[in-house]
Amino acid sequence: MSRFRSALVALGVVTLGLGLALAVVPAFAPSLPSEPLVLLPAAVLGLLAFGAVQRRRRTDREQADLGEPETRRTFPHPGETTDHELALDRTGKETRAAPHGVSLRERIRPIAIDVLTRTRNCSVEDAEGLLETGEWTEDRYAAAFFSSSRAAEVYAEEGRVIDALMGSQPSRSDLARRAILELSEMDETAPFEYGPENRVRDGAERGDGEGQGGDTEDDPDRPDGTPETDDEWVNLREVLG
Amino acid sequence: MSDSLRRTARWVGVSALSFGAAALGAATRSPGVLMVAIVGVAYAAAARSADPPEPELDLTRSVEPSEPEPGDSVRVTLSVTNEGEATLPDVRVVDGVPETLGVAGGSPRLGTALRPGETDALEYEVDARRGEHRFTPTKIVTRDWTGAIEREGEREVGSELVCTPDLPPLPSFPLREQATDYAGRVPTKTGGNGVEFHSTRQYRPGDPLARIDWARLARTGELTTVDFREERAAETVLVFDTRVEAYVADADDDSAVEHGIEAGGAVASALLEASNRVGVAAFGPRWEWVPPGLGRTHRARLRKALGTAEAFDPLPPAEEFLPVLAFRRLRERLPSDAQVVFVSPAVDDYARTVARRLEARGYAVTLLSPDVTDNATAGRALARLERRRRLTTTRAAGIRVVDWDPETSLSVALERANRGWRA
Repeated sequence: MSRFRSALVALGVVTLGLGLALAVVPAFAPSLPSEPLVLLPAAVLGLLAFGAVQRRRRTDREQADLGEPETRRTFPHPGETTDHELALDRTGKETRAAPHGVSLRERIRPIAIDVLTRTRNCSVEDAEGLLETGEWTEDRYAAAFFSSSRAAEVYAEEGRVIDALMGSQPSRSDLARRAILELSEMDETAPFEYGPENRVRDGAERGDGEGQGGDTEDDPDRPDGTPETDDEWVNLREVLG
Repeated sequence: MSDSLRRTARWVGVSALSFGAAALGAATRSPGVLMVAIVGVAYAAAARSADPPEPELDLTRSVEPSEPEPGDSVRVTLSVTNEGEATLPDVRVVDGVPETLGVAGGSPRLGTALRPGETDALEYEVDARRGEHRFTPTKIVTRDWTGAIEREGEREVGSELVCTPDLPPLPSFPLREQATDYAGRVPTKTGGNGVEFHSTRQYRPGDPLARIDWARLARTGELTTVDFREERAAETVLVFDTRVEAYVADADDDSAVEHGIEAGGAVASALLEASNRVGVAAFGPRWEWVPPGLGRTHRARLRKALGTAEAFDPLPPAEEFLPVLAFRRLRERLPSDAQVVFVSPAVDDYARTVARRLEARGYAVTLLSPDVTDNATAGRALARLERRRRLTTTRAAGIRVVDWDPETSLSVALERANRGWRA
């Protein structure tokens, strides 16, 4: 116990004793000190009360963290890391949203070519041309992600409006986000189709799989086993119960 | 129980009441106000002298049923008895619900006061899921009457919830042509006994009469024998991707590993029904290997491995994954004529690498991939696009791919894929 606290306790005991004495023998009351001397301890007590209030305000209540056992542990969704990195990059600099330092554009470009060759039924060279000119989409933000000329247009135009309002330009990640969503929409409307290059080769034809991957141009007449008519779907459901 | 004491700071500042009342009482010369100060002093003194009792609690947990089927509602009851001689005025108990199971009903929390010998209980329900689910330590917090100090501790209550699902039924699984010397139902490219026509050849003495092409003999006078595609049994090993990367969730927060094990179990069931030998391996930090086999006992062994083996734990492994070691370990055990069904969500490039390396080593590989990707955000849409491209390049490498949306029937996915393979 500190000296201050000991003195305070002693003062308290003396005051308490005095109080009890007054309560028992009221005749001592006239011998109490005059007004100014009574106000002095009252002021001191007031200061102590103020100090105690301040201490309360500075002290947070503590209690055990009992956790949330009601909630089942969840796992990350594929692509959440990319979302996180896209959210971080609002400054217009190149996003490094892939392992091994691959830029986001380098990561998305082969996918864009893959989607375009499949949905537009064009060659890889044509797909690259579409990306470069920005003609692969009507979304000018998405187009600007791959096309430097379209990006310049967007930045010049946006710069006039947005800079005036907010002092900022659309970031690279904004363009990336639009490009990804545009590609995703195109991909959903033209799902994978089974082509001759994708057919399984059994037995002797099966060999070193390394290095055999790559983009393929699929045969649109041979879908991935998808029934081509409603009747076929009905038959399939009947077969499978 | 390793306890820790903590001051809750609940009564910090109560002395302000005493000081304030005393100051006011002195200044106004009011004995009544002055007496109020005593109340504050009493509270402060009580908080100072607080000493939470050491709880002597007996905890008993019952799990009913203890071995449920997936989806069953399981009732968990935790009884708490004060076995000490002191009354516990404030006891808070939070049961250690397994991380893999959420609470479906009731509450795993209890707040009560217990006299000596008194018992109270909490009850809650969980929906059973595949796996061996371990309850985590139960948290206990006790306080004295004032609540100025609390004692926190944990207690292990030994019980577990084991859910071992049956191998789901599946009408059939289209295997590739690689087969063993055992008779079975996988058509091969070799001519001989069977059902499906293979070729005709010149008659050789000893050929069965039933296989002589009598029509041709009558038409041309040439004696020929009909060969059918020989049907052999296949030896298949289901290799499950159990790396941390495979523990990703779909839009409903269900794990890809769970979907994979469900699909793999169905494939094992179909193959065993067709008299094929089936084995199981885990490709991840934790090793699991069930060599290929047949029969009811083997089916039960597979069921147990897929249900409760540590390698197939519902929670991702904490151990470091050494890919070269894992691949070598798998290669050492795979029979040379085995087919491999690699079950992986294929959300990273390494899953494709594994499939292609196994194919390159001469194993007929089928990649069975539950699709847990979606388009909810740009990042997730990119992951979906990347996965689709990954599967396309895997197909281009000569590997069969079954792209299965867990929202739909596996049979439908297999039928669609099989049509593509036959095209």
